[in-house]
Amino acid sequence: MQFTTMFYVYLKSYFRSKRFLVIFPIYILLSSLSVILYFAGVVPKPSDVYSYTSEALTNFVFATSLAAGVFAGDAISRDFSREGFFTLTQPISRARIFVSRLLAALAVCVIVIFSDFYLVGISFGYYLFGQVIPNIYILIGLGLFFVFGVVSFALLFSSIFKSQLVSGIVTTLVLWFVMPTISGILQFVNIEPWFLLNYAGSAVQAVAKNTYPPHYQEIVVPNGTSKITLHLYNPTVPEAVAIIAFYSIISIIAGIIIYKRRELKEI
Amino acid sequence: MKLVAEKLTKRFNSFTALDNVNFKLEGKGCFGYLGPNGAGKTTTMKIFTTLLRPTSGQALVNDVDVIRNPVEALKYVGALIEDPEPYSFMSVEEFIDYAAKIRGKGTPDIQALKEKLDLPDLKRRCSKLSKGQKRRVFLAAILAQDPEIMILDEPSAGLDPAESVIFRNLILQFKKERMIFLSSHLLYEVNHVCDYVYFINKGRIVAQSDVESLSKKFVSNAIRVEFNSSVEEKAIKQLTEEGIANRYEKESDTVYLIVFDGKNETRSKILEKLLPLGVRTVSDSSLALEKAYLELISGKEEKGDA
Repeated sequence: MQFTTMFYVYLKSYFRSKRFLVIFPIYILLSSLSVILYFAGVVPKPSDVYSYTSEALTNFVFATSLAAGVFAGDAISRDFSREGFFTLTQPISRARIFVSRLLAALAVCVIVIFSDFYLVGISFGYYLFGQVIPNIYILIGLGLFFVFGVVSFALLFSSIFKSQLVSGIVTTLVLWFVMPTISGILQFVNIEPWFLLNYAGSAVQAVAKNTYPPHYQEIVVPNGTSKITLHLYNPTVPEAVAIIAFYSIISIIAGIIIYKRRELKEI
Repeated sequence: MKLVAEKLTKRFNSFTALDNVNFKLEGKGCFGYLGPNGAGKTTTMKIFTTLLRPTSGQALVNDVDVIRNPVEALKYVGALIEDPEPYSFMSVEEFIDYAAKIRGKGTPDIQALKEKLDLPDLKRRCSKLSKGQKRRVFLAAILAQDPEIMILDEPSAGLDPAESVIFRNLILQFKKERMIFLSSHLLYEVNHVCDYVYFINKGRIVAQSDVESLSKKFVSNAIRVEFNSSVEEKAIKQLTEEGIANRYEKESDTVYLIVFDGKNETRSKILEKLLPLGVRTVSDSSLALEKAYLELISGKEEKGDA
């Protein structure tokens, strides 16, 4: 009862927030762009449902990261403001508060991400080709799990930083810039980025493809007189699941420990 | 209803905010916690509400350790700490309702609370409220939770005089049924609403007393006299020269604080001398607690009953 009440209230706080009113339409617009351009005659019809679905999910990792940064980035740090004088003096364990916040942030991120990237993508794919990809359940399941992992990771940052703004910005920066930059660098040194969450996220797009890309590819790029060798890795689905699970478990446990130990010294 | 501090100590790096604080509050009534800024009042209250952890010692609510079993301890407590913010996205009504529900109290009689606390429009968003309104909404939320112990940290700080009066009257009502642990630097407020006072300074309890005996000790030997118009100081000075008064303090051209031995006959003598000068009002010094307080925090520590 207590848990459900909290979850419902936190979810309501998202729906009433300006960020939701801003981000939700933007996401819908961006994901509908390919549909709009197709009907406007600007782009041709995709070759098949696989390439269409895969294309539709190109920005899935970025979009999820941004949504998690925006919605989950301050899910815990809001308690280090004056609101915390109410929340934290209630007879509710902080672990319960953490989990209810996690689920509320997850719900709003799933609503934002799935109502456009998935709903628009899949339904329009069906409209064009009269079918959906056979791996649709894996695609949805993996996508949901990835959103869960990213939101959990964002909540960890949210429990570390006191400022709501800082935690939101740092979460978004880490997911948007730091991890992709590390992935990019690792392409040159032949190290599989199995320790990066965004690497696991790339499996979502890979699942939508007609043929699952190979685990390792070496691409030689001419660079003037010399050549650059790029080492491209694609996670397998089990590998992606393991990475996301690892991030989720560590983030939730560490986040709860930090949150439980957090003191409200000065605000 | 019981709040107990046992050797409660809290350090922030090298700064000791609380140093071996001991007290035991029991039963209904209002317990004041007085001290200057930085004395350790809010730190104590934050420990009792699990917002801070003590470095050593114990804080017990109804014999439940707030660190070992925070959820159980907080079941008995409603707290207003520092300058709390009701959830900005909620309306007044929603916030009070939510406060009750998360404690499993069911739907509260919000209309009754509105009348009792003079709450603003119930549909109004909490983010749109003034500071005083937010405090009242917060207090309504605490009442909706119906705790047996209320921990109120400077409840009337920052409120206008009218709102402060409302607050003090509410506390007088609440203390009939509950234990109120109230910190304040407003001495007249404590004098007005509290039954027992702990003085804290530099993280240590420096004195404790019931308000009545404390007032008697410090009040009975001073009167404040206000004249209709300015009087010549030498007329007041004469009282000390004649040995009737011990000393006097000129507060303005028309107001003097006169300190004497405290005996009723001396008081009568003083008034006899002053009445021809055109006395408008005479009152026992309302600065009594302030005086006690200032003496205590200036280093004259007292042990046990003051």
